[in-house]
Amino acid sequence: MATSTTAATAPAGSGREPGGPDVDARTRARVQKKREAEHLRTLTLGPGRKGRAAAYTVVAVLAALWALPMAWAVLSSFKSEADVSAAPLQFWPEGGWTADAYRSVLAAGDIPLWIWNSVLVSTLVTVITVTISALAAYAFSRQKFRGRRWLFVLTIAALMVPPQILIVPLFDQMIALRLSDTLLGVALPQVVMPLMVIVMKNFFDQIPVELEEAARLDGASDFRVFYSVVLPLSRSILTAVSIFVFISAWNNFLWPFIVTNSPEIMTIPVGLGTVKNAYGVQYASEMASAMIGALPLLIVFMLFQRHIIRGFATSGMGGQ
Amino acid sequence: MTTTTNSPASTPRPPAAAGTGLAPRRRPGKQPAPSRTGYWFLAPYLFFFALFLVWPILYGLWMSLTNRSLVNDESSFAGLSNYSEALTDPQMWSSLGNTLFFTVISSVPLILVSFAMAYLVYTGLRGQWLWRLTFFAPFLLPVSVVTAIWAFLFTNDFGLINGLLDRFGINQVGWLSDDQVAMWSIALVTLWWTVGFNFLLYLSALQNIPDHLYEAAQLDGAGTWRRLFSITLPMMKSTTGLIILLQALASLKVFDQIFLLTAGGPNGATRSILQYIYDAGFTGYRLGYASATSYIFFALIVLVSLVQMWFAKRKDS
Amino acid sequence: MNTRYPDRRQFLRGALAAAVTAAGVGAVAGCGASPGGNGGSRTPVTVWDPFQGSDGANMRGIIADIRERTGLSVEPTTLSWGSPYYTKLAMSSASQQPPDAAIMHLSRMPGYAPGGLLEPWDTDLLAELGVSEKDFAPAVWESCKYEDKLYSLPLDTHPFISFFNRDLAERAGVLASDGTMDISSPEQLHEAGIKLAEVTGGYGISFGYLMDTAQAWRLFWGLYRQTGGEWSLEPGGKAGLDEDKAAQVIGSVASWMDGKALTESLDYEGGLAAFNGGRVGMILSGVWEVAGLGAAVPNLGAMPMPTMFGTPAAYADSHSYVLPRQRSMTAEHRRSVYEFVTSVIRDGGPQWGTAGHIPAYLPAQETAEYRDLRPQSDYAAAGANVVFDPPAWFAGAGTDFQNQMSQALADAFRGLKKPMDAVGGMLSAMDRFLAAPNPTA
Repeated sequence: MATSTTAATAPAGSGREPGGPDVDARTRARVQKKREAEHLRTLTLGPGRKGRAAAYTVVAVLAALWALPMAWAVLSSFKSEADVSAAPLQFWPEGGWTADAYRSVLAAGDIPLWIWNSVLVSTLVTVITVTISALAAYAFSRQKFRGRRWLFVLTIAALMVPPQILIVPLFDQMIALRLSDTLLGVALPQVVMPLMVIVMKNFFDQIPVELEEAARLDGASDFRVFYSVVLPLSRSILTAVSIFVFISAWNNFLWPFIVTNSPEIMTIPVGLGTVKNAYGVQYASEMASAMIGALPLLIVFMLFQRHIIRGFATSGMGGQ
Repeated sequence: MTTTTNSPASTPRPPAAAGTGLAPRRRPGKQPAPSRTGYWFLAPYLFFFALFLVWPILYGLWMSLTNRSLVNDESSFAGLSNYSEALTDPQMWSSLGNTLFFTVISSVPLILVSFAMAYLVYTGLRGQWLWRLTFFAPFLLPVSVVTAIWAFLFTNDFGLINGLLDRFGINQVGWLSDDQVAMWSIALVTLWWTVGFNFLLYLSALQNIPDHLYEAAQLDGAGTWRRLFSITLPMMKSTTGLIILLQALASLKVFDQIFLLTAGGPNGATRSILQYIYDAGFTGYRLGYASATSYIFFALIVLVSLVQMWFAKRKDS
Repeated sequence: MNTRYPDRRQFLRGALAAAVTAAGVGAVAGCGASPGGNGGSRTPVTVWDPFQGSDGANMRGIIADIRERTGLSVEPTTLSWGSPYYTKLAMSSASQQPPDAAIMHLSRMPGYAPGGLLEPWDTDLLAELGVSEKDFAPAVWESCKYEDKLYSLPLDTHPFISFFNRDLAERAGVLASDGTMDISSPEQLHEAGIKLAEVTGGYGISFGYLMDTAQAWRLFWGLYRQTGGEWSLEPGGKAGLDEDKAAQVIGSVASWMDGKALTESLDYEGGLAAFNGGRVGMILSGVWEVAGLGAAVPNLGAMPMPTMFGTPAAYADSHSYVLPRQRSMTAEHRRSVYEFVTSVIRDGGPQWGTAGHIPAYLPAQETAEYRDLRPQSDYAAAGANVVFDPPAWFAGAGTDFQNQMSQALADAFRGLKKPMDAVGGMLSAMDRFLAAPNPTA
C-alpha cells in the first residue's frame, strides 16, 4: 500500500461503549448513546440551529462526493459495453440494465482464483505475523535474557525501513530460495512487522504481572503462562492486530506484484492490475471486475465495522 | 510499515488492569529471574527478521556496490559508481522532485479533509454509521480497484468527469495525459482512496477530548466557530504532528496508484522515486544500480523521520 | 552464461534454504509450488502476449481455432503493452519461471538474447513443422538472428504507413490513376496536404506525436533510412548519424507543420480523432490502427510510406515469438510449444492481418482470404522494405530510448528547436545510452 498510513490513535473512550448482555441493558445503552450524541452536538456545535445546518450540509456534500465514484462504478458495471462507452454520457442506459459484464468476467475464471489466493496469503501472513510477534512481544515485555535491550532497539530501528527498498534484494533472494512465483514467496516476506511487536509489547507491559506469578506458583511453565494466562487477557489486542495485518496483506500490491509471474499465483490487487482483458478495455467488464475485487473486504467491513475501526485505530501506532 | 513509536499507553486496555486496582506496571524489584526461555519466544520472530529484513538490507547494500544485472549472471564490483551515477542523473532528481511535489499536494488536502470529516462525524451528527462507512470504505479497496474506477472516471468523452464537462460545454481535460495535470489527478485519487485512514486517527483523537472543556466554553457562550478554534483545534496539535509525519512518509513511498494509472507518464511527469527504482532495476535490468538508488531513498526517509523526532523533542522540552 | 545457477546464487540458496528447512517452513512449501512449465504429463502451453483490443480478440480467436483443430492445450495470458510487459517477461525469465513462449517485438530481441534469457529456435524442428527461412522476407529473417542463431520467429511486420480518406482525396484531386497518391518528395507531400486542406477547411494531413513515446521516432527513423543515412551505435563509443541527412528529414517534417498541410499540435489520440472525424484527408500512422480507421472512414485507402528521400524504406517492428529459457522441459512438451507457435504463424496469418499487421509468413499473404482484405493487402508491399530499430540492447518498442528520441524530435517538429539542435540532442542522448553500463552483455 503506497500511501496508506499505518498508525492510529486510541479509540473511543470506554465510556461510550455499549455494554451488558441482556436486551434491556442494550436498549438502555442505545438510549444513553443517543443522549450522549445529542449532548455532544450541543457541546461542539453550540445550541444554535445554524451550526448544525452547516455541519449537516458539509458532511452530506463530502459523503456524496466520496460515494460518487463507487456509485458510478456500480451503475456502469450493470450497463452493456455499448452504453457504458457511449458519448455523450448516458446516465440511464438506453439498452437497459444487464448483468452481462459480471457473467463474462466470472466466466473468464481468473478472479475467483485471485480472491482465493488473497485469502490464502492474507491468512498465512496474519497467522504467522500474529504468532511470532506475540511471542516476541512477550519476551521483550517479560523475560530477561542477554541482548534483550539491544534486540528491542533493533526492532524499533527497523520501523524506519520502508519495505519498498527491499524489493530488489528480496527478488534475488526469492529466486535463490526457489520461492519466486509461489504463494509462500508472496506471504513470507510480509510477516516481519516490527510495529506489531511494539504494539503488543506495550499491551503486555500493562498486564499486571501478579496474574502470571500466581500461575507460576502453581508450577506452570513460561509457555503455559503465556498461553493460558496472557493470551486470554489479550484477545482485544490480538483481534486488533490480526485485522490490521490481514487488511494490509490483502491490499499489498508492490511485493506480490514483483514476486509473481503466473496468473495462477497472483493475488487480487495484482491480478486485477496487471492481467489485461485481451478484448480491449471494456469498461463495463472492468467495473464489474473491480466491484468483485472490492466486495470481500467491504462485506467483512460491513459485518465487523466496529472491530475494524478499532483494530485500525489501535494497531497502527503502538499507543498514543 | 510505519515509523513511529509513541508513549506506551496503548489501547484497548488489558482487562485486568482496569478492574483489579493493581498497579498497571510491574512492581519494582520483582523482575523475573533471568532465563533462557526468552530466546525460544524470540526465535521465530528473529528468524524471519533476519531472513527477510536484515539479510536483504545487507545483501542489497552489497548489490549496490556491484553492477549486478537482472538478465545476466555475471557481475563485478563497481565501488561507489552506482551512487555517483544516481546522484548525477537528472532523471533521478526529477523523480525525486516529482515525489516531493506529490507529497506536498497530497498531504495537505489529506490532512485538511480528513480533519473536516472527523470533526463533522465527531460532533455527533445523526447517521454516524453512514458517514463512517462512506469516508472509510475507499481505504479498504485494493489499489487496482481504485485505479480501475478512476481511470474510467478520467476517460475522455464517456468518462464521468469529462462527460460532465462536455455537457456543460467546457473543454475536456486530459486528466492523466496532460503533464501539467496528471500529478494533481493522482493526488486527487490518493485523497479519495486514503483519506479514511487519517479520518480514523483524527476521530479517535477527537473522542478523547474531555467534555468539560466544551462545558466551560458553553458557559462562556462561545459559538460554533469559537469552540472549534479555541478548543478543538488546539487539542489536535500533537495528533496532527503525528499524522503529518505518517502522511509525509506514506506519500514519499507512493508507487502503486501511479504505476497503475500512468506508469510514470506522460513523459515522466508523474514518475516517483520508487518507480525510478523499479524502472532502473526491473525495466532497465540494473539491479545493482537500483539498489544504490534504494539506499539514497532510504537515507531520505531516515532523514525525514529524524527531523520529525527532533521537532517532537524540541516541542516536549 | 551456460550455467543457470551461478556461485553467488548457489551460496545464497545454500545458506538460506538450510535455514528455511531448519525452521520447518519447507514442510508447507508444497502448497505454494508454481505450476511452471516443467513436468511429465501433458501440461498446457503457456504463452504471453501484450495484445489488447482487436489484436487481442484476433489472437484469442486464432488460439481457440488451434485448440479445436489440434487438441493442444494452450493457456494465453495478456499483460499491458510496452514496458510493463517486457519488465515482467524479463523478471519471469530471471526467476526461471517464464512462460513457454512469448510474443516479443523484434526490436527488443537484442536486449534479451545476449543475456541468455532466450533459447534459440531449433530450425530443423521448425522445418519439420512446415516453417522455414524461405517463407519470410530476407530483411525480416536476418533481423531475427543473434550471433547466427534464430531467436525470434516472426508473426508479422507492422510498418508505419500512410492512410487516406478516398472521398476527400478525390475531391482534392490528389489521387493518381492507380488509386494511390503519387508522392515522391517532401515537397509533394506538403502540396498534397495543402490541397487536402482546401477541401477540409482546416489542415490536410494528421500526425499525432505530442507527448507520445514513439511516434516522432517512428516517422523520423523510417524517413532517415530513406535518405540512405547510416548510423553507428557501438557500446562505449560515440553515437554516429549522418547529421546533414538527419537534419534534412527533421527540417522537412517541420516545414510540413505550417498549420495548413499538417498541424504541430496533435497528440496520438487527437491525430486519430481528426482523421476519424473526417477533418483531415490523410494520416501518417501504424498499420495497427486499420480496424479503427476503417470503421470510421468507410472509403479508407492505404499505401506504404511514400518514398520521399530516394530509397524505399518503412519504419516497422515485428511481433515475433521467442522461447524464454526454461529450467527444464520435456521433449514432448517442447514439441507442443513448437506446434502451437508454428500453427499460429502458418494458419493464423489472414485473421491476424485483419487487425492491420502484415503476416510475416509469406504464403499467408498469398491466400485469397488475405488478398481480399482491403486496404490491408494494398500496403503488404511495405513488408519488403522494412527498417527496424537499431539492434542495440537499449533500443526497441516501449523503451526509454524511443521515448528520449521522440522528445528530442518533437521539439524540432514543432519548430521550437532547429533541426540541427535536435540532431545534437539525439546524439547526446544516444551517447548516454552507449556510455551506460550494458546489463545484458
